[in-house]
Amino acid sequence: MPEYKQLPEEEMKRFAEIREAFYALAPKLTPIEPDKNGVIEYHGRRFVLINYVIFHDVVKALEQFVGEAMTKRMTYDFGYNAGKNIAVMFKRSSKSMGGAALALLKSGFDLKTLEKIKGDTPFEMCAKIVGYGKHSGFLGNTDIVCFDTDNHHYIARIRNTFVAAYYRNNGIKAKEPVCHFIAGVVGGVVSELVGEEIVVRETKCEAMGDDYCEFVGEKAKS
Amino acid sequence: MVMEFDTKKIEKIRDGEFKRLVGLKAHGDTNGNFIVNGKRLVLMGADYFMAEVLKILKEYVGPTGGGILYNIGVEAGKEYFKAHHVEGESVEDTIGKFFGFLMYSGYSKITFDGEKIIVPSSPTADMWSKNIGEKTKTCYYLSGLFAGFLSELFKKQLDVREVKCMAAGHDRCEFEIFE
Repeated sequence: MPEYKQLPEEEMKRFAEIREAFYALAPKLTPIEPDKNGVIEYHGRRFVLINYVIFHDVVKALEQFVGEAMTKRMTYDFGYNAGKNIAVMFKRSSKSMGGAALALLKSGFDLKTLEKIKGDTPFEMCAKIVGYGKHSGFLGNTDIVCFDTDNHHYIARIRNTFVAAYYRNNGIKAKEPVCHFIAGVVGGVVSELVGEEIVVRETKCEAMGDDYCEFVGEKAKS
Repeated sequence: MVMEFDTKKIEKIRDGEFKRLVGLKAHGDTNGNFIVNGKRLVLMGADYFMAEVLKILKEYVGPTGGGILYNIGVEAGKEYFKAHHVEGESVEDTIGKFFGFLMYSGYSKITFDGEKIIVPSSPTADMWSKNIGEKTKTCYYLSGLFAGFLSELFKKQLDVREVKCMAAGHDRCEFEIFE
């Protein structure tokens, strides 16, 4: 890990609590269900459920036609745009989520869980977004090791990304990190929330045999 | 190509399968695994997957970009058939369950109109129209998905071509099947 300011343990714990609280409430706050016409739409954006194998096939096809280096860059950019869109969606809907949370309170959900998701700082929004990421099958548990908005240093450790999972589940050991799309998502989310362009690189990857995928973010060089 | 089956029966099975899948209330588990029918699914924005993917492919390799997505769809359609087809079930059952799964996955209420496959609201076409705007056909992956699936079902090489597309200005997306 680079020499960045590590997050105090109580803040790491708080991040995990917000993440889990949002994940518990996500089926009500950010439902994945299609409507009666088979349309999945949330805040004006259409979504599809795809088999994680398809993403891998698309990346491999891109590599064949535009080369590995360009594919890495393109998938990072896709992820970055996706991350920005997710963060914008969360920022826009945070007020309506507050209203939805109130409705949940009235229908018996416990106040402690609801209290945990009411904050809207970049740190708290990130925690909610990774809770949503778990709910939507993108990734497993995410922990934040560094979230330094003064120096713009960020480190996230993510387990079970759908990208690395393909390699693990098929017994393929990658020689270098493969989660370029996820790195882009992390970059896009953080950039949108902190108001600076943050570039993210993956420094550890489950597809390589590491225990988790690690993503390190810092301010883009101008 | 002449295909004989009961469209109404397909629609009934489609709706039943859709209802069953929705009733599972599936989502990512505590490890983020969103498992339906034994497969891990991921919720993706249709703007980047596949509208932007298609845009980038076309920029780099021209019309071949659509062909690349078509071929990926063909393999996915074949895999789906092999994973879910039950020996001895009727053609209507097989197609109905497939359409039900696609409906659950956000591809809208797919059906037949005569021998054409109709997709009333393709997510790729919708997001392409909203975000990219160029009037053109876009549903290559979906065409391939249908082709791969139907080729396995009817045990012959079939191609599917999109003949109308919402992204090209039509009211809905229509696909024709060719031998």
